[in-house]
Amino acid sequence: MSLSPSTSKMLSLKSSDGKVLEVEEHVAVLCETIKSLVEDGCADSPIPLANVDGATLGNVMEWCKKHADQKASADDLEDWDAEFVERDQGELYHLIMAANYLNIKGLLDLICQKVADMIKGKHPEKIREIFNIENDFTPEQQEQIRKDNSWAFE
Amino acid sequence: MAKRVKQTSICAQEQLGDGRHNDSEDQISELPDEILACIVSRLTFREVASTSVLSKRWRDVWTFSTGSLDLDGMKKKWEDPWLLKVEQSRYINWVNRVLELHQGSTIDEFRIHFWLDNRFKSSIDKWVDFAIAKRAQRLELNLEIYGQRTENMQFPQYELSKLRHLTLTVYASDSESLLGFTRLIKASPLLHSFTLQLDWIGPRRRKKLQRAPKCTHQYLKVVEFVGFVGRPIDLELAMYVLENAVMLEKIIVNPNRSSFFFMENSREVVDSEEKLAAARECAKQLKTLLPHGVELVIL
Repeated sequence: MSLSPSTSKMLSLKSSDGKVLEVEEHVAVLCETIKSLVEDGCADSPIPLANVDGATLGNVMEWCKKHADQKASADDLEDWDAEFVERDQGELYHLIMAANYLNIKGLLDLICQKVADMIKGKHPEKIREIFNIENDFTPEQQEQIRKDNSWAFE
Repeated sequence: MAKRVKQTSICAQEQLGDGRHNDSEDQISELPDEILACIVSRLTFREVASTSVLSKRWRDVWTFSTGSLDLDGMKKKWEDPWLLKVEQSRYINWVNRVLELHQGSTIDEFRIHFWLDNRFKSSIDKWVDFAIAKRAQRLELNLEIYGQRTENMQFPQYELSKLRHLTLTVYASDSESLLGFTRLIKASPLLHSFTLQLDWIGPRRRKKLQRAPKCTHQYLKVVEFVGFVGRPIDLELAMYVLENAVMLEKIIVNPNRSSFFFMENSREVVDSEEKLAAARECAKQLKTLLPHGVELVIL
């Protein structure tokens, strides 16, 4: 089956909140999950994506469209990606879950790197503050972990 | 490095429905282990380890990391700097504990750095086995007092099939040989770069150059000797490389020692200009052995 842009047909994707998105096949197949369906000939009716809401699906397809564009240079994509991940944590969370569900390695890598960069070089207290992580250890438990890992911390 | 993770991990979002979280919620902790692993694998080992104190959810996340296991024991302040033995056993216990708890299927880098001599050979062999099993791409053994009689070392009998970069730091004297390390090079068919950092100690002795058995290396392109002294101990290894690394592009000889010294005041930290000049002269002799197309860089 040819998936080249010139012969690309349209696919309908249905989000968890019932929104239907029409996407060119050569863009949608950047999602390995959708690619498998297309290859198996199961992609005729709107493809239900029960784990991705409409807004997130729109964002994901925007990324796929940019990355399916064969004219985009590596530098261009890098700049574009850097802007793409400038989002609040809620959006990043939904994107990372969607990238995982739809099996888009490039997008998953991109967002994992973005989150890692938010953690990098920061003290635990600062990381808790950024991500609203509640410290549910007792002081004794915390001390024990510090002790166990003292070679790594000091 | 992101890997496809299991579909079962998707349920978290279904529970959330389509509602957007507000900014005061902890969403990162709701991510499945596999995605957290993907995130922390991009951090240094110190950064990953420090996430274990964040909360109960995060206590064991570090064990899933497939990034770097940089187990550097030289950064910790010793409780009693004179009790090397105590600190050695603590370091070994720590490394063993980390390796026991680690659950990631692979690692990018494995690095150990501490004062360890031949008495700890069985632990070190075990660690190298771990690096092999986790298909490490980078292995660094920084053993500050481990040079003795490496020709007798039993390094791996099987392949470090993914290893691309190998760095060894050893502390050695004229009465020893580093040729035992050729076993590690031999066991790494895809090795691209090899760095040897040498801390040389002990009286100068006359010694005949030894030769290691021939073994062709198809991928080794860059070799660096740091702390090169131009004695049999490093010359033999340099000659081994020149004879066997058929695709070698560059050999870098750096007579300056760069490693960490424990009791700085009691040891000569900076080498004299004469010694450095002598080592450079000696390195020039390697020119006569250079195969066509190999660049010799003397720093």
